[in-house]
Amino acid sequence: MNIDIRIPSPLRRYTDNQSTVSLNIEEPSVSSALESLLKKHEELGRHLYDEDGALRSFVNIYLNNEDVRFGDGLDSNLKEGDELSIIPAIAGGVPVTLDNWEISRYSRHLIMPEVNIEGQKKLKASSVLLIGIGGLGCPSSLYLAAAGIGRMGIVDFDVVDDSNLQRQVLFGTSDVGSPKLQAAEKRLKDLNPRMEIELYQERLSSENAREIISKYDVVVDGTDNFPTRYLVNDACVFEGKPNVYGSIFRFDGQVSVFNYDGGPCYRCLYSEPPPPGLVPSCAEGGVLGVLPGIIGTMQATEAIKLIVGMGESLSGKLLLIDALSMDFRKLNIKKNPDCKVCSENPELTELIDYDDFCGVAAQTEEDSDKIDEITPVDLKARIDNGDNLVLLDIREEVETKICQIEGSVHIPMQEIPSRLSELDMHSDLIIYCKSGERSYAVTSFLKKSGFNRVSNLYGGTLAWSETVDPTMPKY
Amino acid sequence: MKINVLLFASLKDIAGKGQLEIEVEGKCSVENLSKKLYELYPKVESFDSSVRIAVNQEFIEGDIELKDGDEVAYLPPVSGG
Repeated sequence: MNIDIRIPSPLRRYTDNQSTVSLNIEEPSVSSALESLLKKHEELGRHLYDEDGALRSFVNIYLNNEDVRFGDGLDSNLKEGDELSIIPAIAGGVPVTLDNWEISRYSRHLIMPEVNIEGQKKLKASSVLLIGIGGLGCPSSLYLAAAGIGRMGIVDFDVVDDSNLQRQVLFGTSDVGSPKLQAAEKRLKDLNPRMEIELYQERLSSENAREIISKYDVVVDGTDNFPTRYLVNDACVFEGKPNVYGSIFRFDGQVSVFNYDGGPCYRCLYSEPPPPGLVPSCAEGGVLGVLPGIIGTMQATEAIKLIVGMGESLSGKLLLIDALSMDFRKLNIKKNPDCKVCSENPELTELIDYDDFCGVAAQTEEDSDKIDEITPVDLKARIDNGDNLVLLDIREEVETKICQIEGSVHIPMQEIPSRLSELDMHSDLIIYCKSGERSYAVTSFLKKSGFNRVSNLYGGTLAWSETVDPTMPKY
Repeated sequence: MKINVLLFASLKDIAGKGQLEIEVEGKCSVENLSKKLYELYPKVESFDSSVRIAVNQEFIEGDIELKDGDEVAYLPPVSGG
Protein backbone atom coordinates (compact mmCIF):
# COMPACT_ATOMS: atom_id res chain seq x y z
CA MET A 1 0.00 0.00 0.00
CA ASN A 2 1.31 3.45 -0.89
CA ILE A 3 1.26 6.29 1.56
CA ASP A 4 2.71 9.82 1.64
CA ILE A 5 4.17 11.34 4.78
CA ARG A 6 4.61 15.12 4.91
CA ILE A 7 7.73 16.25 6.71
CA PRO A 8 7.82 19.68 8.42
CA SER A 9 10.60 22.04 7.38
CA PRO A 10 12.68 21.75 10.61
CA LEU A 11 12.95 17.96 10.13
CA ARG A 12 13.70 17.95 6.42
CA ARG A 13 17.42 17.95 7.02
CA TYR A 14 16.93 14.33 8.13
CA THR A 15 14.98 13.36 4.99
CA ASP A 16 17.46 14.63 2.39
CA ASN A 17 15.40 17.84 2.17
CA GLN A 18 12.30 16.03 0.96
CA SER A 19 9.03 17.63 2.04
CA THR A 20 7.09 14.44 1.31
CA VAL A 21 8.31 10.89 1.72
CA SER A 22 6.40 8.24 -0.26
CA LEU A 23 6.39 4.79 1.29
CA ASN A 24 5.17 1.37 0.43
CA ILE A 25 3.97 -0.26 3.65
CA GLU A 26 2.73 -3.72 4.48
CA GLU A 27 0.48 -3.17 7.49
CA PRO A 28 -2.12 -0.39 7.11
CA SER A 29 -1.54 1.46 10.42
CA VAL A 30 0.02 4.77 11.41
CA SER A 31 2.62 3.07 13.58
CA SER A 32 3.79 0.82 10.77
CA ALA A 33 4.02 3.81 8.43
CA LEU A 34 6.21 5.63 10.96
CA GLU A 35 8.33 2.53 11.39
CA SER A 36 8.97 2.36 7.64
CA LEU A 37 9.78 6.05 7.64
CA LEU A 38 12.42 5.57 10.34
CA LYS A 39 13.92 2.63 8.49
CA LYS A 40 14.47 4.92 5.55
CA HIS A 41 15.55 7.98 7.58
CA GLU A 42 17.00 6.69 10.81
CA GLU A 43 18.03 10.04 12.27
CA LEU A 44 14.41 11.20 12.50
CA GLY A 45 13.91 8.67 15.28
CA ARG A 46 15.30 10.65 18.17
CA HIS A 47 13.27 13.70 17.15
CA LEU A 48 9.98 11.83 17.06
CA TYR A 49 10.37 9.42 19.99
CA ASP A 50 11.69 9.81 23.53
CA GLU A 51 14.15 7.44 25.29
CA ASP A 52 11.28 5.12 26.26
CA GLY A 53 10.14 4.80 22.67
CA ALA A 54 6.99 6.92 23.13
CA LEU A 55 6.02 9.61 20.65
CA ARG A 56 7.29 12.93 22.01
CA SER A 57 4.52 15.13 23.44
CA PHE A 58 5.26 18.00 21.08
CA VAL A 59 5.00 15.83 17.97
CA ASN A 60 1.54 15.68 16.46
CA ILE A 61 0.63 13.21 13.73
CA TYR A 62 -2.18 14.20 11.40
CA LEU A 63 -4.01 11.76 9.16
CA ASN A 64 -5.60 13.68 6.28
CA ASN A 65 -5.76 16.82 8.44
CA GLU A 66 -7.12 15.12 11.57
CA ASP A 67 -4.96 14.73 14.65
CA VAL A 68 -4.68 10.95 15.21
CA ARG A 69 -4.78 11.59 18.96
CA PHE A 70 -8.51 12.19 18.56
CA GLY A 71 -8.94 9.00 16.56
CA ASP A 72 -7.30 5.67 17.29
CA GLY A 73 -3.86 7.15 17.86
CA LEU A 74 -0.96 5.26 16.32
CA ASP A 75 -3.27 2.29 15.71
CA SER A 76 -5.40 4.35 13.30
CA ASN A 77 -6.05 2.50 10.07
CA LEU A 78 -4.71 3.73 6.75
CA LYS A 79 -6.04 3.27 3.28
CA GLU A 80 -4.38 3.64 -0.11
CA GLY A 81 -3.50 7.26 -0.88
CA ASP A 82 -3.88 8.57 2.69
CA GLU A 83 -1.59 11.39 3.69
CA LEU A 84 0.15 11.52 7.05
CA SER A 85 1.69 14.77 8.29
CA ILE A 86 4.15 15.23 11.10
CA ILE A 87 3.43 18.55 12.77
CA PRO A 88 5.71 19.54 15.61
CA ALA A 89 4.09 21.92 18.06
CA ILE A 90 5.94 25.20 18.05
CA ALA A 91 7.18 25.09 21.61
CA GLY A 92 8.31 21.91 23.12
CA GLY A 93 10.95 19.81 24.63
CA VAL A 94 10.92 21.60 27.97
CA PRO A 95 9.15 19.45 30.55
CA VAL A 96 6.70 21.58 32.52
CA THR A 97 4.00 20.79 35.02
CA LEU A 98 0.96 22.73 36.13
CA ASP A 99 0.31 23.37 39.81
CA ASN A 100 -3.12 23.79 41.41
CA TRP A 101 -3.07 27.57 40.94
CA GLU A 102 -2.59 27.07 37.22
CA ILE A 103 -5.11 24.25 37.01
CA SER A 104 -7.82 26.48 38.51
CA ARG A 105 -6.83 29.44 36.38
CA TYR A 106 -6.82 27.53 33.08
CA SER A 107 -9.69 25.14 33.83
CA ARG A 108 -11.74 26.30 30.84
CA HIS A 109 -8.87 25.29 28.57
CA LEU A 110 -8.13 22.05 30.40
CA ILE A 111 -11.63 20.63 29.98
CA MET A 112 -11.55 21.05 26.19
CA PRO A 113 -10.12 17.90 24.55
CA GLU A 114 -8.44 19.99 21.83
CA VAL A 115 -6.33 21.87 24.38
CA ASN A 116 -6.37 19.74 27.55
CA ILE A 117 -3.54 19.66 30.06
CA GLU A 118 -0.96 18.84 27.37
CA GLY A 119 -1.89 21.90 25.34
CA GLN A 120 -1.78 24.10 28.43
CA LYS A 121 1.70 22.80 29.22
CA LYS A 122 2.78 23.70 25.69
CA LEU A 123 1.47 27.22 26.24
CA LYS A 124 3.40 27.45 29.50
CA ALA A 125 6.58 26.24 27.80
CA SER A 126 6.16 28.69 24.93
CA SER A 127 7.47 32.18 24.25
CA VAL A 128 5.94 34.83 22.00
CA LEU A 129 7.49 38.05 20.71
CA LEU A 130 5.17 40.98 20.02
CA ILE A 131 6.60 43.54 17.66
CA GLY A 132 4.78 46.79 18.31
CA ILE A 133 2.34 47.29 21.17
CA GLY A 134 -0.22 49.50 19.43
CA GLY A 135 -3.67 48.78 18.06
CA LEU A 136 -2.85 45.14 17.29
CA GLY A 137 -0.33 44.38 20.03
CA CYS A 138 -2.59 45.57 22.87
CA PRO A 139 -5.40 43.02 22.39
CA SER A 140 -3.09 40.20 21.32
CA SER A 141 -0.83 40.67 24.37
CA LEU A 142 -3.82 40.65 26.73
CA TYR A 143 -5.22 37.40 25.35
CA LEU A 144 -1.83 35.70 25.09
CA ALA A 145 -1.03 36.61 28.71
CA ALA A 146 -4.49 35.42 29.79
CA ALA A 147 -4.03 32.15 27.85
CA GLY A 148 -0.99 31.31 29.95
CA ILE A 149 2.00 31.60 27.66
CA GLY A 150 5.21 31.31 29.65
CA ARG A 151 7.28 34.17 28.29
CA MET A 152 6.44 37.30 26.33
CA GLY A 153 8.82 39.74 24.69
CA ILE A 154 7.61 43.17 23.55
CA VAL A 155 9.47 45.55 21.24
CA ASP A 156 8.28 49.17 21.16
CA PHE A 157 9.88 52.57 21.67
CA ASP A 158 6.75 54.73 21.76
CA VAL A 159 5.04 56.77 24.46
CA VAL A 160 1.28 56.56 25.15
CA ASP A 161 -0.54 59.40 23.40
CA ASP A 162 -4.14 60.63 23.85
CA SER A 163 -4.96 59.52 20.30
CA ASN A 164 -3.95 55.91 21.13
CA LEU A 165 -6.73 55.35 23.67
CA GLN A 166 -9.46 55.00 21.01
CA ARG A 167 -8.12 51.50 20.27
CA GLN A 168 -5.08 50.61 22.40
CA VAL A 169 -6.95 48.92 25.22
CA LEU A 170 -3.94 48.12 27.39
CA PHE A 171 -3.54 51.76 28.32
CA GLY A 172 -5.56 54.15 30.47
CA THR A 173 -5.81 57.90 30.66
CA SER A 174 -3.27 57.97 33.50
CA ASP A 175 -0.69 56.30 31.22
CA VAL A 176 -0.63 59.17 28.70
CA GLY A 177 2.94 60.42 28.43
CA SER A 178 4.49 57.23 29.87
CA PRO A 179 6.46 54.74 27.77
CA LYS A 180 4.09 52.12 26.34
CA LEU A 181 6.25 49.29 27.66
CA GLN A 182 6.03 50.55 31.22
CA ALA A 183 2.23 50.76 31.07
CA ALA A 184 1.98 47.40 29.28
CA GLU A 185 4.16 45.63 31.82
CA LYS A 186 2.03 46.89 34.72
CA ARG A 187 -1.22 45.66 33.16
CA LEU A 188 0.11 42.33 31.84
CA LYS A 189 1.88 41.47 35.10
CA ASP A 190 -1.38 42.06 36.92
CA LEU A 191 -3.22 39.84 34.44
CA ASN A 192 -0.67 37.03 34.62
CA PRO A 193 1.95 37.36 37.36
CA ARG A 194 3.58 34.05 36.40
CA MET A 195 4.35 35.13 32.83
CA GLU A 196 7.91 36.32 32.25
CA ILE A 197 7.99 39.66 30.43
CA GLU A 198 11.00 40.90 28.48
CA LEU A 199 10.90 44.49 27.29
CA TYR A 200 12.85 45.95 24.38
CA GLN A 201 12.52 49.73 24.54
CA GLU A 202 14.07 50.25 21.13
CA ARG A 203 13.30 50.31 17.45
CA LEU A 204 13.53 46.88 15.78
CA SER A 205 16.45 47.22 13.34
CA SER A 206 18.57 45.15 11.02
CA GLU A 207 21.18 45.14 13.80
CA ASN A 208 19.04 43.72 16.62
CA ALA A 209 16.16 41.90 14.86
CA ARG A 210 17.66 38.43 14.39
CA GLU A 211 19.07 38.25 17.88
CA ILE A 212 15.78 39.26 19.51
CA ILE A 213 13.58 37.08 17.28
CA SER A 214 15.83 34.03 17.77
CA LYS A 215 14.87 33.92 21.46
CA TYR A 216 11.15 33.26 20.83
CA ASP A 217 8.97 30.49 19.42
CA VAL A 218 6.39 32.66 17.64
CA VAL A 219 6.46 36.26 16.37
CA VAL A 220 3.33 38.42 16.28
CA ASP A 221 3.72 41.33 13.87
CA GLY A 222 1.74 44.39 14.97
CA THR A 223 3.91 47.06 13.38
CA ASP A 224 2.56 50.07 11.54
CA ASN A 225 4.95 50.63 8.64
CA PHE A 226 6.34 48.81 5.61
CA PRO A 227 10.08 48.87 6.44
CA THR A 228 9.46 47.06 9.76
CA ARG A 229 7.03 44.60 8.13
CA TYR A 230 9.71 43.52 5.64
CA LEU A 231 12.34 43.45 8.38
CA VAL A 232 10.14 41.20 10.58
CA ASN A 233 9.38 38.92 7.64
CA ASP A 234 12.98 38.48 6.55
CA ALA A 235 14.30 38.02 10.09
CA CYS A 236 11.59 35.38 10.76
CA VAL A 237 12.58 33.53 7.58
CA PHE A 238 16.28 33.61 8.49
CA GLU A 239 15.59 32.48 12.06
CA GLY A 240 12.96 29.90 11.06
CA LYS A 241 10.18 31.45 13.17
CA PRO A 242 6.49 31.61 12.28
CA ASN A 243 5.24 35.16 11.73
CA VAL A 244 1.64 35.78 12.74
CA TYR A 245 0.72 38.75 10.60
CA GLY A 246 -2.07 41.29 11.06
CA SER A 247 -2.66 44.60 9.35
CA ILE A 248 -5.41 47.22 9.40
CA PHE A 249 -6.65 50.22 7.45
CA ARG A 250 -9.90 52.13 8.15
CA PHE A 251 -12.48 49.26 8.13
CA ASP A 252 -10.30 46.60 6.45
CA GLY A 253 -8.19 44.01 8.23
CA GLN A 254 -5.89 41.20 7.08
CA VAL A 255 -4.57 38.20 8.99
CA SER A 256 -2.20 35.43 7.95
CA VAL A 257 0.53 33.14 9.23
CA PHE A 258 3.76 33.45 7.29
CA ASN A 259 6.84 31.26 7.19
CA TYR A 260 5.23 28.32 8.93
CA ASP A 261 5.84 24.69 8.02
CA GLY A 262 7.06 25.36 4.49
CA GLY A 263 4.27 27.87 3.75
CA PRO A 264 4.68 31.23 2.03
CA CYS A 265 6.22 34.34 3.60
CA TYR A 266 5.06 37.96 3.32
CA ARG A 267 7.35 38.50 0.34
CA CYS A 268 5.64 35.62 -1.51
CA LEU A 269 2.55 37.85 -1.35
CA TYR A 270 4.14 41.29 -1.82
CA SER A 271 7.67 40.89 -3.12
CA GLU A 272 8.36 44.63 -3.19
CA PRO A 273 7.04 47.46 -1.01
CA PRO A 274 4.73 50.06 -2.58
CA PRO A 275 6.31 53.37 -3.58
CA PRO A 276 6.54 55.68 -0.53
CA GLY A 277 3.46 57.78 0.03
CA LEU A 278 1.12 55.59 -2.07
CA VAL A 279 -0.47 53.65 0.78
CA PRO A 280 -1.78 55.82 3.62
CA SER A 281 -1.03 54.81 7.21
CA CYS A 282 -3.65 54.65 9.98
CA ALA A 283 -2.46 58.07 11.18
CA GLU A 284 -3.34 59.44 7.73
CA GLY A 285 -6.33 57.34 6.72
CA GLY A 286 -7.78 56.57 10.13
CA VAL A 287 -8.93 53.26 11.56
CA LEU A 288 -12.09 52.10 13.28
CA GLY A 289 -11.00 51.65 16.90
CA VAL A 290 -12.53 48.23 17.36
CA LEU A 291 -10.97 46.81 14.15
CA PRO A 292 -7.49 46.17 15.63
CA GLY A 293 -9.36 44.50 18.50
CA ILE A 294 -10.79 41.99 16.03
CA ILE A 295 -7.56 41.50 14.09
CA GLY A 296 -5.25 41.45 17.15
CA THR A 297 -7.34 38.80 18.88
CA MET A 298 -7.29 36.75 15.67
CA GLN A 299 -3.49 36.96 15.68
CA ALA A 300 -3.51 35.76 19.30
CA THR A 301 -5.82 32.89 18.25
CA GLU A 302 -3.43 31.84 15.48
CA ALA A 303 -0.40 32.05 17.81
CA ILE A 304 -2.17 29.87 20.41
CA LYS A 305 -3.18 27.32 17.73
CA LEU A 306 0.41 27.08 16.48
CA ILE A 307 1.74 26.60 20.00
CA VAL A 308 -0.80 23.96 20.99
CA GLY A 309 -0.68 22.36 17.53
CA MET A 310 -4.43 22.31 17.02
CA GLY A 311 -6.75 23.12 14.15
CA GLU A 312 -5.75 24.56 10.80
CA SER A 313 -3.64 27.69 10.74
CA LEU A 314 -3.92 30.56 8.27
CA SER A 315 -0.62 29.52 6.71
CA GLY A 316 -1.03 29.83 2.93
CA LYS A 317 -4.19 31.90 3.36
CA LEU A 318 -4.89 35.57 3.70
CA LEU A 319 -8.02 36.31 5.71
CA LEU A 320 -9.67 39.60 4.73
CA ILE A 321 -12.22 41.27 6.96
CA ASP A 322 -14.40 44.21 6.04
CA ALA A 323 -15.95 45.55 9.23
CA LEU A 324 -18.46 47.71 7.32
CA SER A 325 -20.12 44.82 5.50
CA MET A 326 -18.87 42.15 7.93
CA ASP A 327 -17.63 40.18 4.93
CA PHE A 328 -14.95 37.61 5.73
CA ARG A 329 -12.96 36.16 2.83
CA LYS A 330 -10.01 33.81 2.59
CA LEU A 331 -7.64 34.01 -0.38
CA ASN A 332 -5.06 31.32 -1.09
CA ILE A 333 -1.42 32.40 -1.19
CA LYS A 334 1.11 30.12 -2.83
CA LYS A 335 4.76 29.99 -1.95
CA ASN A 336 6.68 31.89 -4.61
CA PRO A 337 9.36 29.54 -6.03
CA ASP A 338 11.45 32.63 -6.86
CA CYS A 339 10.95 34.38 -3.50
CA LYS A 340 13.98 36.51 -2.67
CA VAL A 341 14.17 35.25 0.91
CA CYS A 342 12.29 31.96 1.39
CA SER A 343 12.84 30.08 -1.88
CA GLU A 344 15.36 27.27 -2.21
CA ASN A 345 17.96 29.57 -3.74
CA PRO A 346 17.25 32.88 -2.08
CA GLU A 347 18.81 36.06 -3.40
CA LEU A 348 18.99 37.50 0.12
CA THR A 349 20.54 35.62 3.00
CA GLU A 350 20.99 38.46 5.45
CA LEU A 351 19.05 41.53 6.57
CA ILE A 352 19.30 44.71 4.51
CA ASP A 353 18.57 48.42 5.08
CA TYR A 354 14.76 48.39 5.09
CA ASP A 355 14.22 52.16 5.11
CA ASP A 356 16.28 52.28 1.97
CA PHE A 357 14.44 49.27 0.50
CA CYS A 358 11.08 50.98 1.07
CA GLY A 359 12.37 54.27 -0.32
CA VAL A 360 11.83 56.12 2.96
CA ALA A 361 15.36 57.36 3.60
CA ALA A 362 16.17 57.85 -0.06
CA GLN A 363 13.27 60.18 -0.61
CA THR A 364 14.04 62.36 2.38
CA GLU A 365 17.67 62.76 1.45
CA GLU A 366 17.02 63.41 -2.20
CA ASP A 367 14.46 66.13 -1.58
CA SER A 368 15.80 67.74 1.56
CA ASP A 369 18.23 70.02 -0.28
CA LYS A 370 15.54 71.51 -2.42
CA ILE A 371 12.62 71.89 -0.03
CA ASP A 372 12.10 75.08 1.96
CA GLU A 373 10.52 74.65 5.35
CA ILE A 374 9.13 77.22 7.75
CA THR A 375 8.49 76.75 11.46
CA PRO A 376 5.08 77.68 12.92
CA VAL A 377 6.67 80.47 14.97
CA ASP A 378 8.28 82.04 11.87
CA LEU A 379 5.06 81.66 9.94
CA LYS A 380 3.10 83.41 12.71
CA ALA A 381 5.62 86.27 12.61
CA ARG A 382 5.19 86.63 8.84
CA ILE A 383 1.39 86.61 9.14
CA ASP A 384 1.54 89.25 11.92
CA ASN A 385 3.90 91.28 9.74
CA GLY A 386 1.18 91.38 7.05
CA ASP A 387 3.26 89.49 4.46
CA ASN A 388 1.37 88.42 1.36
CA LEU A 389 1.06 84.65 1.84
CA VAL A 390 -1.22 81.88 0.65
CA LEU A 391 -1.78 79.19 3.29
CA LEU A 392 -2.66 75.96 1.52
CA ASP A 393 -4.30 73.26 3.65
CA ILE A 394 -3.92 69.93 1.81
CA ARG A 395 -5.62 67.72 4.41
CA GLU A 396 -8.84 65.79 3.82
CA GLU A 397 -12.19 67.54 4.14
CA VAL A 398 -12.98 65.73 7.43
CA GLU A 399 -9.79 67.03 8.99
CA THR A 400 -10.54 70.66 8.15
CA LYS A 401 -13.66 70.34 10.27
CA ILE A 402 -11.54 69.54 13.33
CA CYS A 403 -9.29 72.59 13.04
CA GLN A 404 -7.73 74.93 10.48
CA ILE A 405 -5.31 77.85 10.48
CA GLU A 406 -7.27 81.04 9.86
CA GLY A 407 -7.31 82.33 6.30
CA SER A 408 -6.34 79.03 4.66
CA VAL A 409 -7.23 77.81 1.19
CA HIS A 410 -8.23 74.14 1.13
CA ILE A 411 -7.36 71.70 -1.66
CA PRO A 412 -7.13 68.01 -0.64
CA MET A 413 -3.77 66.40 -1.48
CA GLN A 414 -5.24 64.04 -4.09
CA GLU A 415 -6.77 66.93 -6.03
CA ILE A 416 -3.63 69.10 -6.19
CA PRO A 417 -2.36 67.77 -9.56
CA SER A 418 -5.66 68.57 -11.30
CA ARG A 419 -6.15 71.96 -9.61
CA LEU A 420 -2.72 73.54 -10.12
CA SER A 421 -4.26 76.39 -12.12
CA GLU A 422 -5.99 77.63 -8.96
CA LEU A 423 -2.62 78.38 -7.36
CA ASP A 424 -0.75 81.62 -7.91
CA MET A 425 2.86 80.97 -8.92
CA HIS A 426 3.92 84.48 -7.94
CA SER A 427 2.87 84.57 -4.29
CA ASP A 428 4.47 82.76 -1.36
CA LEU A 429 2.74 79.44 -0.82
CA ILE A 430 2.86 77.74 2.58
CA ILE A 431 1.71 74.12 2.44
CA TYR A 432 0.49 72.35 5.55
CA CYS A 433 -1.12 69.16 6.84
CA LYS A 434 -1.35 67.57 10.29
CA SER A 435 2.26 66.52 10.87
CA GLY A 436 4.19 68.04 7.98
CA GLU A 437 4.67 64.71 6.21
CA ARG A 438 1.99 64.83 3.51
CA SER A 439 2.59 68.53 2.96
CA TYR A 440 6.29 67.77 2.48
CA ALA A 441 5.41 65.49 -0.44
CA VAL A 442 3.06 68.13 -1.90
CA THR A 443 5.70 70.87 -1.49
CA SER A 444 8.16 68.67 -3.34
CA PHE A 445 5.59 68.00 -6.07
CA LEU A 446 4.78 71.70 -6.48
CA LYS A 447 8.45 72.55 -6.67
CA LYS A 448 8.88 70.02 -9.47
CA SER A 449 5.82 71.52 -11.17
CA GLY A 450 7.54 74.90 -11.38
CA PHE A 451 6.39 76.64 -8.21
CA ASN A 452 9.47 78.30 -6.75
CA ARG A 453 8.01 80.25 -3.86
CA VAL A 454 6.66 77.26 -1.95
CA SER A 455 7.50 76.10 1.60
CA ASN A 456 6.36 73.34 3.88
CA LEU A 457 5.01 74.14 7.35
CA TYR A 458 7.33 72.11 9.56
CA GLY A 459 5.40 69.89 11.99
CA GLY A 460 1.97 70.83 10.58
CA THR A 461 -1.02 71.74 12.73
CA LEU A 462 0.41 69.63 15.58
CA ALA A 463 3.44 71.91 15.84
CA TRP A 464 1.27 75.00 15.28
CA SER A 465 -0.79 73.96 18.31
CA GLU A 466 2.30 73.31 20.40
CA THR A 467 4.25 76.45 19.59
CA VAL A 468 1.80 79.11 18.40
CA ASP A 469 -1.83 78.47 19.30
CA PRO A 470 -2.50 76.03 22.17
CA THR A 471 -6.27 76.35 21.60
CA MET A 472 -5.94 74.48 18.31
CA PRO A 473 -6.96 70.85 18.94
CA LYS A 474 -4.47 68.08 18.25
CA TYR A 475 -5.87 64.93 16.69
CA MET B 1 -19.57 38.28 -19.99
CA LYS B 2 -19.72 39.75 -16.52
CA ILE B 3 -16.81 39.91 -14.11
CA ASN B 4 -17.32 40.58 -10.42
CA VAL B 5 -14.59 42.96 -9.25
CA LEU B 6 -13.69 43.39 -5.58
CA LEU B 7 -11.65 46.34 -4.35
CA PHE B 8 -9.94 46.55 -0.96
CA ALA B 9 -8.44 49.19 1.36
CA SER B 10 -7.34 52.39 -0.47
CA LEU B 11 -8.81 51.16 -3.77
CA LYS B 12 -12.22 50.94 -2.16
CA ASP B 13 -11.86 54.56 -1.04
CA ILE B 14 -10.89 55.69 -4.53
CA ALA B 15 -13.84 53.95 -6.21
CA GLY B 16 -16.24 54.75 -3.38
CA LYS B 17 -17.33 51.10 -3.33
CA GLY B 18 -15.84 47.70 -2.69
CA GLN B 19 -17.66 45.71 -5.32
CA LEU B 20 -18.63 46.32 -8.94
CA GLU B 21 -19.54 44.38 -12.03
CA ILE B 22 -17.61 44.98 -15.22
CA GLU B 23 -19.17 43.82 -18.47
CA VAL B 24 -16.72 42.75 -21.18
CA GLU B 25 -17.25 41.54 -24.73
CA GLY B 26 -15.56 38.42 -26.05
CA LYS B 27 -12.30 37.23 -24.50
CA CYS B 28 -10.87 39.09 -21.58
CA SER B 29 -7.68 38.58 -19.57
CA VAL B 30 -6.92 40.02 -16.14
CA GLU B 31 -4.73 42.64 -17.82
CA ASN B 32 -7.60 43.76 -20.08
CA LEU B 33 -9.90 43.90 -17.08
CA SER B 34 -7.40 46.06 -15.18
CA LYS B 35 -7.30 48.48 -18.14
CA LYS B 36 -11.07 48.78 -18.01
CA LEU B 37 -10.94 49.33 -14.26
CA TYR B 38 -8.33 52.09 -14.71
CA GLU B 39 -10.55 53.77 -17.31
CA LEU B 40 -13.37 53.84 -14.76
CA TYR B 41 -11.13 54.92 -11.87
CA PRO B 42 -7.89 56.45 -13.19
CA LYS B 43 -6.36 56.83 -9.69
CA VAL B 44 -6.45 53.05 -9.20
CA GLU B 45 -3.73 52.77 -11.85
CA SER B 46 -1.15 54.31 -9.51
CA PHE B 47 -1.39 51.05 -7.52
CA ASP B 48 -0.70 48.95 -10.64
CA SER B 49 2.79 47.81 -9.60
CA SER B 50 1.87 47.26 -5.92
CA VAL B 51 -1.50 45.57 -6.11
CA ARG B 52 -1.94 41.78 -5.89
CA ILE B 53 -4.79 40.21 -7.82
CA ALA B 54 -6.73 37.08 -6.84
CA VAL B 55 -9.06 35.31 -9.26
CA ASN B 56 -11.70 33.17 -7.55
CA GLN B 57 -9.83 33.34 -4.21
CA GLU B 58 -6.43 32.35 -5.67
CA PHE B 59 -3.65 34.90 -6.02
CA ILE B 60 -2.34 34.78 -9.57
CA GLU B 61 1.08 35.33 -11.08
CA GLY B 62 1.16 37.10 -14.44
CA ASP B 63 -1.90 37.25 -16.67
CA ILE B 64 -4.71 34.73 -17.13
CA GLU B 65 -7.88 34.49 -19.23
CA LEU B 66 -11.16 35.15 -17.40
CA LYS B 67 -14.53 33.52 -17.82
CA ASP B 68 -18.07 34.67 -17.18
CA GLY B 69 -18.87 35.12 -13.50
CA ASP B 70 -15.25 35.14 -12.29
CA GLU B 71 -14.48 37.06 -9.13
CA VAL B 72 -11.38 39.24 -9.39
CA ALA B 73 -10.05 40.85 -6.19
CA TYR B 74 -7.59 43.77 -6.20
CA LEU B 75 -5.61 43.92 -3.01
CA PRO B 76 -3.18 46.76 -2.28
CA PRO B 77 -0.68 46.24 0.56
CA VAL B 78 -1.77 47.57 3.95
CA SER B 79 0.66 48.42 6.72
CA GLY B 80 -1.40 49.79 9.60
CA GLY B 81 -1.07 48.37 13.08
